[in-house]
Amino acid sequence: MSGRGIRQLSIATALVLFAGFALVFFWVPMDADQGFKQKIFYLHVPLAIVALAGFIAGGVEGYRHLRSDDRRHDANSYVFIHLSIIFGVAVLITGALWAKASWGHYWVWNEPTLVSFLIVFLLYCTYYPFRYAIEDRDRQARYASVFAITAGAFVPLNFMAVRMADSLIHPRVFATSDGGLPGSMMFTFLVCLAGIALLWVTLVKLELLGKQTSGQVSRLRRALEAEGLGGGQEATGTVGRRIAPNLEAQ
Amino acid sequence: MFDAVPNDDTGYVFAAYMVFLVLLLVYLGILGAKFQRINRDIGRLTDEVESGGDPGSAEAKSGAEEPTGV
Repeated sequence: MSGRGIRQLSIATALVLFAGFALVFFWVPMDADQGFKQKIFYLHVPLAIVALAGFIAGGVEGYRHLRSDDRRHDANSYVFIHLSIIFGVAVLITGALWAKASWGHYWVWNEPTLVSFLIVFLLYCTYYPFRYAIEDRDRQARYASVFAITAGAFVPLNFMAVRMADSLIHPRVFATSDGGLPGSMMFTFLVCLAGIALLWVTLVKLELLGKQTSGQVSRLRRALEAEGLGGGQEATGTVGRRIAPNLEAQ
Repeated sequence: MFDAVPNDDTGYVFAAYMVFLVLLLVYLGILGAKFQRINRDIGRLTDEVESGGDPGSAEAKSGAEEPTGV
């Protein structure tokens, strides 16, 4: 993944998100049951879907890294998981606000959908200490890939288990015998989902571009030092070295 | 934090969308700072190459000039 097309992608993301939120507040009808608070649905559910898909994509990239030993896949896996955790924070906060408005409580511990998402989120929060507890870069990348695959496989299993469980209060709006969402709500939801997915892709590309560039700067620094130039300033090439794979090997 | 949210539907909806916006802006701010650091690093490297590897003169030059965009 490179930085090509980031400007166009950013514009497309802004347009689709703006269109989606405009539909939410100015076009789609008010929900008969929940009223205005149901508008949180168009933000909360796309964020949750994109975050979970990002975790799975991180696992796929981890698998590709183990297969090819290409550090770019490890960097992709790291960035996918990193951004999905941030989206997960937004899911938990928007979900808590919606829960308070609908149920009167910010959190309900006997609701499987909420608790299962929290378990997935906390599982991925251990990715950072797990990864950076290992100093050797190759071992770190390999172990992180194994983590990403294992946790990535857990996500759909967890989702299926929750779907099979008897939900107490969390709504099931897709693929239900009650008919699911009306057409206008489904259209608005899909536009919002596309916008959030585009936002995730844009941020992934920006983050990867940063790591790629800092890796190039580090390589350039080393080349200059080998040539007998530079070496006077420690600050050069430190960007991203501390916590993230910065594609130095590419 | 949650106690500050108004106790009606509009407040919760507004708060949810604001949380999303704030998180996005904070993340973009962090990314922007990272790109600025890269930009400064590239500027220093360029100065070092142009000054033939004399860190002192490169440092003086990099301090005097604004870095170019990445």
